[in-house]
Amino acid sequence: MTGRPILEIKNLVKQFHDEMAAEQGNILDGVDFTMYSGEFVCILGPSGCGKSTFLRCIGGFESYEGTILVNGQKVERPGTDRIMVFQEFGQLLPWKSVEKNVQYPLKVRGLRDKAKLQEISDTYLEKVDMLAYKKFYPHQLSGGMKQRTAIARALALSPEIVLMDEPFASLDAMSRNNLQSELYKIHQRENVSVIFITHNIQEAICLGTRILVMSKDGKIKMDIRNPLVKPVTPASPNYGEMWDKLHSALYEMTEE
Amino acid sequence: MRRKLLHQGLFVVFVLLIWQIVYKWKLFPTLMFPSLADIGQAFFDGFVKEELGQMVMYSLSLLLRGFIIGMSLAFLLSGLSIMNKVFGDIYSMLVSMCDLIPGVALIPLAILWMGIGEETIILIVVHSIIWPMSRSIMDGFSSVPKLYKEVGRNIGLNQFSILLGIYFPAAFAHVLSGIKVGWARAWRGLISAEMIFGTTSSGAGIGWFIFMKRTNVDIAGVFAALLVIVAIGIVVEYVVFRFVEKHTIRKWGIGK
Repeated sequence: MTGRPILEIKNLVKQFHDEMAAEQGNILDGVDFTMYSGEFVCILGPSGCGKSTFLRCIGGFESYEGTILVNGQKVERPGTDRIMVFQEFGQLLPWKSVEKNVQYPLKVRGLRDKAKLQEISDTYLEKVDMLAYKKFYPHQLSGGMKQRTAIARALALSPEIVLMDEPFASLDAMSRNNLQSELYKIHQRENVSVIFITHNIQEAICLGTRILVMSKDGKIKMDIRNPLVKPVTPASPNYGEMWDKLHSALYEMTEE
Repeated sequence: MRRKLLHQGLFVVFVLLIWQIVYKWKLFPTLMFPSLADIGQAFFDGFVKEELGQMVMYSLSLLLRGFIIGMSLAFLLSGLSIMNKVFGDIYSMLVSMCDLIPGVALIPLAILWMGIGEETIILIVVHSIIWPMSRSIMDGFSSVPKLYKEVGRNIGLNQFSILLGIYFPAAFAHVLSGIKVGWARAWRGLISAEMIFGTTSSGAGIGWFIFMKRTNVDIAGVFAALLVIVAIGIVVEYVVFRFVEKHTIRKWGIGK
């Protein structure tokens, strides 16, 4: 399953910049992490543990100390090799239709051929089941549809890593389950590499091939492979064991 | 929509009715308060016997030239102030200062420096537009959600293309309201300049028509000219601006 290393992080430190904050300290405190192509890494952690900051550092949106290398290249700014999918539904550009939202980044990258653009946007909208809505504008879509489109936009760029910051956290339980199983299928088929932030243990077990737990002091506390056979349901063998393990890792720290 | 038009139409009829009643009762001298028929006659005569039509065209040509120059400058300078912080700081101060100066107050200086040609009137029009419009555009730019900017950076937009690709459409509701304010201000600037200048070397406009009518105590004529200004304004508001709104912010579901 594991391929070549695509992301190497060494001693990543991110400090507080807020002068008003009473306690000074590090949001991320010496994180080491290597990711291999094709992995689906889920990061669990209590709120405020710096998991979003971690993702934003990889995305190139934050300054940091230490090293982040993507395919050996140091991360200094955002780029299309690392595409973010945000939690907010507002991440689509409201002045562009669904298909134009998918095509626009490709145009920016220099693809001018209209037929080719259409072909790519149709292909990826099909994968997320949004092809029927390609002419719609974002304000006409439900939250789940917007997130599907955002995922299509990310995949269409064929990035090295898709960075997902709790993309399903604002969805209702049903849409959330649907999107989880579809995302898992897409991952199987396309072999994309994903880092997925969540605070939902079930989500991490269902999606991740590897699960990290971050602690409040900005360190990786646990880093395990997820041995459960996909598709995972609560009836899967070892589901309970896995859930307990992650649950106690998460809650042990909240009590500290 | 239809209801709204009905209300507005009924109101206009009501005002006209009151007008005619006031006239019939001779509450004011006829000289000061002409009947609707007199105004209608003056309107008709203005276009048929006199050169009101030509004057309107002349005014409109000055207005459009000033409007295009003013709008382009407002876009350019507001855009620059996003791209360069030092320029932005200075420009926003300049806007606050210059927006306070009425166009009419600049006329003595403008005449002294540039004479009484067309350029001077256009300059006054540009002055009336550029500051309020820059203010709206910059307000719009500063209210662009951080999320859109991050999406823009993520898909590889550079400093200049992010201005056209993200800031401008995202702020379009503000841009449009800036254009509306600019349009109204342009008319005011133009008419006041024309009334003070009289005829320029190449022609005379509506302002001059009003001025002449006042000198001849032809109050019906003055009202006829005001009617022309209102009529043009209404057409632009209800036809041009509505059209643009329908195909932009209302289609995109942004703004009001």
